[in-house]
Amino acid sequence: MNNQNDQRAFWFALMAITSCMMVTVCVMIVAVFIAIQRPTIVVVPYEQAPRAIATAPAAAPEADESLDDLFPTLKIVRTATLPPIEQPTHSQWDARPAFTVMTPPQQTNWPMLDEETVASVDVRALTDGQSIDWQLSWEAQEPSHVVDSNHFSDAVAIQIPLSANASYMMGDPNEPVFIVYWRAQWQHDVDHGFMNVQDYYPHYWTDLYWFSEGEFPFTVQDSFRDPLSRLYFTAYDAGNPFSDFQRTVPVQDMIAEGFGSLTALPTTQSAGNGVWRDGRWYVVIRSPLAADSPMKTALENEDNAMFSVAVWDGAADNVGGRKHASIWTPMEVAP
Amino acid sequence: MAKQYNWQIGREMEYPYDAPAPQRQVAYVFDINKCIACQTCTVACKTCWTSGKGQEHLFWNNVETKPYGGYPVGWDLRLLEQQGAAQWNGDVLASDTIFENNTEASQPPQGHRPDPEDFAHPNLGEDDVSGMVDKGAFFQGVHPVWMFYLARICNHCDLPACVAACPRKAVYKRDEDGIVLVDQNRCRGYQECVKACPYKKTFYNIIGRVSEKCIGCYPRVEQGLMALCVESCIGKIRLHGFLSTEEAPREDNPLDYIIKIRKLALPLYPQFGTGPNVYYIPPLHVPNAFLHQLFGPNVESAKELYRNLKDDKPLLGALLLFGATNRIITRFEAREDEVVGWDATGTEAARVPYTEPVHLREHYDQRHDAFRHNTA
Repeated sequence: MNNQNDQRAFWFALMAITSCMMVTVCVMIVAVFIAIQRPTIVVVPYEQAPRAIATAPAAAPEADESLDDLFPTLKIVRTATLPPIEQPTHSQWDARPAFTVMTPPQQTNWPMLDEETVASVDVRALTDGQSIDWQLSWEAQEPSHVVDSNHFSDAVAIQIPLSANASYMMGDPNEPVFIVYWRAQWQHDVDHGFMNVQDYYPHYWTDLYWFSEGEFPFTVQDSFRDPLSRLYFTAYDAGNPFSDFQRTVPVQDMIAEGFGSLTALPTTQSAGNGVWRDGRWYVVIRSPLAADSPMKTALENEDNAMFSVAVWDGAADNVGGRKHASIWTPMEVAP
Repeated sequence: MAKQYNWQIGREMEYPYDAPAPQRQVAYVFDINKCIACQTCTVACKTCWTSGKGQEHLFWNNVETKPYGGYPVGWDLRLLEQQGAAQWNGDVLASDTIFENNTEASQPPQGHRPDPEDFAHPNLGEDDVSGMVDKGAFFQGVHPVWMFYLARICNHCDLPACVAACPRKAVYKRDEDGIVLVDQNRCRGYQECVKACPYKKTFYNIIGRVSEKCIGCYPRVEQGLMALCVESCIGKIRLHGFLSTEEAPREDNPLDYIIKIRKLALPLYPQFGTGPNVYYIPPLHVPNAFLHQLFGPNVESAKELYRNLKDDKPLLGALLLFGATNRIITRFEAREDEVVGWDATGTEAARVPYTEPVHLREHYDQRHDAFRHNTA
């Protein structure tokens, strides 16, 4: 009798443990899927997800609702007048609810980001028909704008597909994406002037730079007008947009067709402005909606009406591919 | 990861690209035994290439004192801490290269990125010897402690870590001579190359806001001239030329002969796996245990060759070419009483006797009716 009871208890316990394990595994899979929204989603063609699924027949309403929750659509709200770009925290922004985009660490391709320090970015978008203003805000305990060896800048970028099948990870060959990139270092340049060596190291001294004019501290803006004096500015000489000593906008328009292909457009049409306040960055990026602008093209083509966000925590050595990045999120101009 | 054969470690190893070797490989031989750390090479390089604003801390060429010196501070010790001691099975590396040992999962080349202050002490540890000297000690024929000077430039590696690490492919290796360059237009200053280079010879420029590195004096090389750090060396410790890559090593190519055929000069930290192309003649007075870690398993045989140079005319002849010309010698011939070197055009570039002629001058110069001083 005892033996039988023991056996029953054993099988019961075994089944209970097995059931628990199966449930746990299922919950973990779902939790991981929901939490990080990893590239497994990318393999779903855009025609089917997420918008198409959201408007699918009512045969499976529960599934629709849950997926719609997973892939909510950002409403770009029409407004007669955009808030002034000089005020990224203008009260007009506060009137809109924040649309939170999860930004897990990029771990699809090398170099990867090991640790997440920015969980999400709050996005708000307004349009006056001429431009879209994006307000991107995220937590940053301290602003990081000084770039030196082993020191990096905070940054944020908004990306939209220029092709229906472009990967949210920088696009693919022949499937380009359009990116507007804002950088705290450039914001500092715009607000305070290009950072010279003396701004990094106030006690440094030099008595000479070949062919430079004036006297110490020989600012790059004023003392290096003679082309000969710029011989050592090799990146500047090569036309690298990073060596912009007279920067007027803190953003850069770029295209990409896959990892490592990021290329700055010859001219940047977008504008931007960022301010750090009380432990948060508030960055406004203004994208013009001119006839041939990438943003307008994206909005007019339903397949491309998506965006993604990337954010870099400079203090945590985020740079390049070591970033936090969201997947595609649908967007539409609110009726 | 592709498989690449690395002759310096005697085996295949993992590397991100499978590009073939360049048509010829720029290479250098530095004779450590002759370096006095006068820094003429450093100044020649700095004056020519890195005198600009934002380059104050950059030394594409530096000379540091071993065992304690290093620019940037601890450049090699920090990587050795990550990698552990090299393990050799004969001439074959048994331990992992920086491309194979990845405790940090997010980036294949093992590395570290120096802070700005690490570049601020290029002469830290200068002239410091290996240990304390006892009170009352005096020279008894063999020094009880040791130190030596290590001149360093970019190694223009066979399998560069900077090339492997750059996610934008902004760092590239030239097919014509194997010189490794950073595309100054394409670079976006991610500093992945700074982190990956085991020799810390890529640098971030705060004004250009991109990475920069030794360019191997390529505008000079394209004219058949040696690099400025080589030409300016007053101790004549350096030779600059090319290793054969598409054919077997040639006995009449001084670089092939010294490095690959006779194995007198050894790569620096071959265990890192990048195939560095500055080859050092190891210092005779330094203990082998230390040198094994720096130059691999063939230190003692290289020392033995060097000790016997006076009876080794072909090898001695190749060494006589050091500092004899500023033109790159691609062919040489060791003759009975002199060595002759020719450049790529077949023009004679150097002719050096094994024994310098001795001229004795009289104390009184009859022609000028003058007395010579300091002639005794």
